[in-house]
Amino acid sequence: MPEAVTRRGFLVGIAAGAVVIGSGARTVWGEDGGTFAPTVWFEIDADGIVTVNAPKVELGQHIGTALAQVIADELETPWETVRLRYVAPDPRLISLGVGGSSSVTNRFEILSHAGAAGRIELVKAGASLLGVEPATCKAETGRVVAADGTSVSYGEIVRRAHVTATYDKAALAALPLKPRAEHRIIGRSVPALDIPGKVTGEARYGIDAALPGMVYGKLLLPPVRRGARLTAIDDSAALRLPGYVRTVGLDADPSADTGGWAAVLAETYPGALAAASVVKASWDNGPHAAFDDAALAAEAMRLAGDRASGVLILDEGGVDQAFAETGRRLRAQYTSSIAVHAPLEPMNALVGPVGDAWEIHSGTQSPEDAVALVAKLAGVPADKVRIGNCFLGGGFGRRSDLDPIRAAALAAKAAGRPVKLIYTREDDFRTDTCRSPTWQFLEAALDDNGRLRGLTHDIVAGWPGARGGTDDLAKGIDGRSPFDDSASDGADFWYTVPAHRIRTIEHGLVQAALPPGWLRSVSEAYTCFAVESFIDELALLQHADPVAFRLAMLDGAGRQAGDNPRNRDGAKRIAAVLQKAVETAGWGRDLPRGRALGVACGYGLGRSRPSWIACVAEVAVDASAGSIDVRRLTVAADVGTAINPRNLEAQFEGAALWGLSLALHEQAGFRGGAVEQANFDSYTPLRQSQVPEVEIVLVSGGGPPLGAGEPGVTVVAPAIANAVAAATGLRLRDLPMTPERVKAARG
Amino acid sequence: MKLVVNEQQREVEAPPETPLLWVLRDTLGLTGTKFGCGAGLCGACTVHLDGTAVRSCQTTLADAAKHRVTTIEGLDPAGRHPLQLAWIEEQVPQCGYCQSGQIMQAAALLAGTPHPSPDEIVKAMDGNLCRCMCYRRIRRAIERAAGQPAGGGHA
Repeated sequence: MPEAVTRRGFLVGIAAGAVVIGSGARTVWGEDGGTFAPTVWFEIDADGIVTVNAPKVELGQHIGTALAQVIADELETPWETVRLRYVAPDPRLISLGVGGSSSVTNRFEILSHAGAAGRIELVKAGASLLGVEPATCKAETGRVVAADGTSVSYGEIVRRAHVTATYDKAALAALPLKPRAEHRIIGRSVPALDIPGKVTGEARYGIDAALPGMVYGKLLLPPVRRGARLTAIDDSAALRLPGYVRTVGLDADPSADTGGWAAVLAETYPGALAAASVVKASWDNGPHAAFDDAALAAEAMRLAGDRASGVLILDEGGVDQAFAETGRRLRAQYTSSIAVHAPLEPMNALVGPVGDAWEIHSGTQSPEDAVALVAKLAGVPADKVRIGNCFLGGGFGRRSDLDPIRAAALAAKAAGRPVKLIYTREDDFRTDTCRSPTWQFLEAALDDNGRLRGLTHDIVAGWPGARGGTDDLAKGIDGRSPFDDSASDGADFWYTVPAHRIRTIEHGLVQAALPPGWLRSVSEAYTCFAVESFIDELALLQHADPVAFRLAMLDGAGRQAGDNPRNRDGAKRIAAVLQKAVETAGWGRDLPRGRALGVACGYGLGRSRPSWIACVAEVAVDASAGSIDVRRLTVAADVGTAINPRNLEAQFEGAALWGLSLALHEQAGFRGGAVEQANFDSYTPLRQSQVPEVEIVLVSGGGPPLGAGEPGVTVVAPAIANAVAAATGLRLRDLPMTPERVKAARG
Repeated sequence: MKLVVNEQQREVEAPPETPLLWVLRDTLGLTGTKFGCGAGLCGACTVHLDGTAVRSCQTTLADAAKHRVTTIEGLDPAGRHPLQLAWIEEQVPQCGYCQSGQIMQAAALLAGTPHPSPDEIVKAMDGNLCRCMCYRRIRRAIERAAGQPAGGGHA
C-alpha cells in the first residue's frame, strides 16, 4: 500500500462541473502505483514546477503531452517547468477513456479554461504581493510582471500567497481564450513526455504489473468464437504438474463476453501454458459452428437484395425520380475482409483481491467501465475497486473491450487470489472483436451525358455499437429505427450531388458469431474506400480528371457547408487538403508504364467533428505477378489548430501505413465459427521492408483542434485502388488487394 | 541454474526448458523485454546472447545459461546508448511496446555493421513488427545513431 504524503501547492481542478482553485495542503497517495485522484488537473509547487495529471490514458498518441501543452499555454508557464504524472482513473471524477480520436476535441476547451483560470488567479495573487492592481500586471514565462517591470515567480506566489477561487460554467465560458497568434506552446513540436521511458524498458504496461500472491492464467477457449457452452473440464493430467492450481470455468452463459471460456491457473505463466496443453475441455459448440466466409457473404447478399431490410440514414429526395428519369447506370460492389486489431501487447489483465479492496491492472481504453464491471463481479462497492495506471501497448479499439478484465476477475473470485491472465497471441486472435467483413453496393443514375443524377449506397456490416443493445443508438430518418453510426459513418460524404440515399443494414450473423468491434478508423476505412473508388469510377466514365471532378463537387453548398464550429466549411476544407496533396505529390506528372498516381479525399471520424484528409498514392503494378508496389503516400491533413505538429505527423504517418497495411496485407478468414488466423505468420501486418516513402503535410485550417489518430487511415486504400486503376485499367473493389485478386481482375 | 544477465550472475530456479522471456520478466523482474507472439514472429522479446540478437521466447533457459544475456535494461548503464538517444531525438515510439525489441535488434546490427546501408537496416529490422507503424522513424533513428545523414529528418 503506498504511503500517504502531504504536499503544499497551488491546485487547479474540477468539482461539480466548476473549476476549483486552491492552495494549501492536501493528501495524495504516494508515487509508487498510487491512486491519486485526477480531480486535480494540475498543480504548481513552490519551485514553480507545474505537474499536469495526464487526463487520458496513453496508448501511443502522446495525448498527455498535447493536453499539457494546452494547459501550459494558457497558464503562461515555460514548457520546461511542465511535468506529466500518469494518474489512476477514478470513475467518480472524470473519464480517462479514449476512443474515436476524440480526446483533444473533447478536452481542449475545458483544459484551456482551467489554464486560463489558473493564470488569472496567479496574476491576482502576484499583483497583491507586488502591491499593484492586477489589471496592470501580466503573466509571462512563469512570472507575474507589473507595469514597472518588477515581478514575482509562480513558485514564490505558491510559497507566499493563499488562493481560493471557483469558476462556475458561466464564469469559465466568459474567460477569453488566447487568439492563435499568441500561442507559445500550442503549435510547438515539444518532445513527448512519455517517450524517454519507452526506450529504456522502464515504461510500465498492464502486462508488467504484479501483485503479492497472484497466480498466472492461460485461457482455454472453445473452437468457435461465440455461442459455445463449456460442458466438462478434465484436468487430471495437469494435477501432476508442479505449480498447477486449478482450472476455472468462466461464464456459463454463452452470450457473455467470456461465455464458454475457461482459465487454467498456475504459479508461473509457463506452468499455466504447460497445464493448459494437457487440460481437456469439452464444449457444446452452439449454433455458429458451421459459419464461414461463404455463409456470411451469402447472408450479406440476401440482406442487400431485401428492400425491406436496414435503415435509411440519408435520403436527400429525388433519388427515385433520378432513377426513373435516366437510363444509364453505374453499379459497383465493394467488400472488405475481416481485420484483426492485434495490438502488440497481447490482451491481459491482473485482477484480484488486495486486502479489503480489489485491484485492476490492465491497459484499457475504458477504465471507468472496468471499475464498474469488477465491482459487480466481485460483489464489492465501486469505491473498493482501484485501477492502476499503465501504458497501453497499442489499442486500436481492441482495448475498448473488457473481456480480459472480466475473465481475470471471474477467475480471481473463484481462486480467492489475484489472477494475472495473459492471452497468448493465438488467444488474442481467437478472441478479437474484429472489424466486420463488409459489403457495399453503390448505384448511380446517370443522364445521357454520363452526368450523375442520383446515387444510392447500401452498407451491410456488423454493428459494433449494437453489441450492448440498440437503446442508445442513433435513429434513422424515420425517427425511430435504431442504427449504429459507427458502422456507416463516412458514407455521408461532403460532395454536392443531385440526390443521395444511404441505407445501412445490420448483418445478423456477423453480429452473433464474430462479434464485430471498433478497429482504428472504424467504418470510415471501408465507407471511404467504397465512396472514393466509386467517385473515381464516375470520373473515369466521364473522362474527367479525378481531382477536377472532385473539386467541382466540393462547393460547400447547403448542408456541405457544415453545421457547427468543428465542421464549418467542411467541403471547402476537403478541397483545400486535396489541392495540397496533389500539388505536393506532383499530380499530372509523367510516369513510366505500369506506374500511376491515385487520389482520394474525405474526413473522419463522424460528420460532426471531422478532420479533413486527402491522399495521393504512387504505385507500380506488375499485373502478371499481381504485385502492387506502393512507392509513395502523400497525405495532407487539416486538424484545425495543430497542437504538436511533429506528433501529428507521427500519428498521420502511422495511420497512413496502417491504411496501407489494411489495403494490401491484412486479411482474416472465418471458418468453423471462428477467425482462422492465429498469429503473425498467417496474418501479416506491414513490415519494415514494405514501407514506402510517406510525406505528411499539415494544412492549417484553424478553429478547434480535431482528432488525429484515425482519420489518416481512411483515404489510403481508395487512393491505392484508384492508382492501380490508373496504372492498369484494373478496378479492384475488394480489400485487401492481394496478388490473387489483382490476377483475378486481370482475367 | 546460473545465468549471467546484464553482467550480473543470477541464480534462477526454473525448469531448464523455460523460455528465457519468462525467466527475465517474471523471475528476474526485467519487464522491459516484452511478450508479443510467443513464436519468434514479432521481435518484441529480442535480447542479446553474447551480443547476438535472439528471440527470448524461442530461447530456453538452458541455452541462455551458456551465454551472457543482455536486455534493454543492460544495453547501457545510464540508458544513453546512441540508439536510445537517437530514438528520443527522432521521437520514435508511439505505444512503445515493441521498442525494446527494436532497439536491441538495431544494437546488434550496429555492433556488427557500424555503418549499415539502408538495405542492411531494412533486412536486419524486418522481423520486428511495430503495430503503430513507426517504421520510418525507426530507420531514421538507426541512421542517426550510426552517424549517417538521416533521410528526411526534422530541423
